[in-house]
Amino acid sequence: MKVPALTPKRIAIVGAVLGALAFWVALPPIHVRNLAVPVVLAALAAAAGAYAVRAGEARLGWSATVVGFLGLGAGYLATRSSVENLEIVFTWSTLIASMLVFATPLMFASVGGIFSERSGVVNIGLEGMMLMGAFWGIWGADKTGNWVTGVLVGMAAGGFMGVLHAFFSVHLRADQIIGGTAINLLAIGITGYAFVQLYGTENIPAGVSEIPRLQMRFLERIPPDSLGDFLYGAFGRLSVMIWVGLLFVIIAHFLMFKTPLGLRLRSVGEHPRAADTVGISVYGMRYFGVTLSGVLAGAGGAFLSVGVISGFNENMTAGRGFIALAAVIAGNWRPFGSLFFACLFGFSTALAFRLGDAYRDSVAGLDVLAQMLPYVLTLIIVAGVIGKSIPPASVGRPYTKQ
Amino acid sequence: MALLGRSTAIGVGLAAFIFGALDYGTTRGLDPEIFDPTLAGNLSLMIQGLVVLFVGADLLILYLWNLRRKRLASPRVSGRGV
Repeated sequence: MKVPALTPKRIAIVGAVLGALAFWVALPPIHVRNLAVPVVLAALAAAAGAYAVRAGEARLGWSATVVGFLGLGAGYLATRSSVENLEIVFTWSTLIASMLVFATPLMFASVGGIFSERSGVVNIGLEGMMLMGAFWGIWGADKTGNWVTGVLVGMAAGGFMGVLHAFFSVHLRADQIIGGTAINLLAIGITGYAFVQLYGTENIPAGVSEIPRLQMRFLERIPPDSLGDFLYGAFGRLSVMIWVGLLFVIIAHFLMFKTPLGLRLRSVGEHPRAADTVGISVYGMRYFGVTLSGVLAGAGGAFLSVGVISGFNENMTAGRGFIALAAVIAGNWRPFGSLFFACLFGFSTALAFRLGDAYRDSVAGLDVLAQMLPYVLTLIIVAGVIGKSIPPASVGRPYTKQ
Repeated sequence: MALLGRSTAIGVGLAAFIFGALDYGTTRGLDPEIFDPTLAGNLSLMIQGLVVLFVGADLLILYLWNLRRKRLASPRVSGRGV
């Protein structure tokens, strides 16, 4: 058997894994209570990272070192904490289930963002499109009494904002960043106004049609028992929209990279003049991309309001559109890449909620502090733990027909 | 804001003045029975959004302006009122 060569890159990756392991061994179900184990693992991680840095693999090496130190800190905290609290926070099946719940709006919005950016239009307005989807989605579900029409109404509202953004940035050649900012302001205004006008001071009435969960009992019967319980807890009772979102990621990947339509969309984003010369309608493709991004962001927003909290608050998306945009960029403008980062943000949000729940009494203010976790993660990722990402060549530049 | 003032110091000041006036005027001193302050606040957000949108789209404004100039210059071709 051939042993893979120990390149600096591989060593750095092993270091990062060891760093993560330093934290993980202190958690359920392993529960190492001795501080020495995380310390040794973290030291190994840091050493591997340092070696990789010296061997010329700077970025990955430093990442491994940082992960090692973070693992040490988190592992230390975990060994000091009581077992019951750890059990509350790190019930892996529930953690994964709520990770998917928090990741789904980001999934929809970032797939939408990819379509828009690949066609060459920066879409800062994702946030506003999500917000429109959230309000009009719950409004539709409330008025028609059916969640399907609600989500469709939300998608239409997001799509309307998408068309607006497309009109201003494609036909009028307005600055796309400014157009997107205007979309965000407009969406906050419209949803806030309509909310007060339509519902007054009381919230959306209870009993709005909810998105059903997909029950998968057969997962429970998978041997061995603990695995079956885990699978059922994590994947057996998820909302239908979550599966639809995952399906959309796969569809988007195929549409983008395996079909003529996707090729045209990407060519319009890379080199519009060349695309125009071979007879592709640049304006048409850009309208398609931006409108689709609005529709998908609207679906994400509608999931947030109809599926998660069954209600609406003013500005309830709370920056999720921007996080979705960060997921697009960090995922290198690829559906599966952004799916990964959407799940990462979802995981940190879920973790933040559970940390806040478990330590509310023992550590004052931790629940508020933990809410910052996803945003800190965004900062770290965007600041460059991830390799250099290459945007579509002509993203943000309006195209003038000749 | 910088765009609204066309990247000049005085312009930015004036633009900020408009937005400030919109914000302040809709949060204080309104009679709730005539115009609900929460409605007014959201309305001013909508107006701000539209202002930013249209300021960004100078092409549209130039187009409309040219239409108007043409109509004023030659009223007979305007199509309205023979």
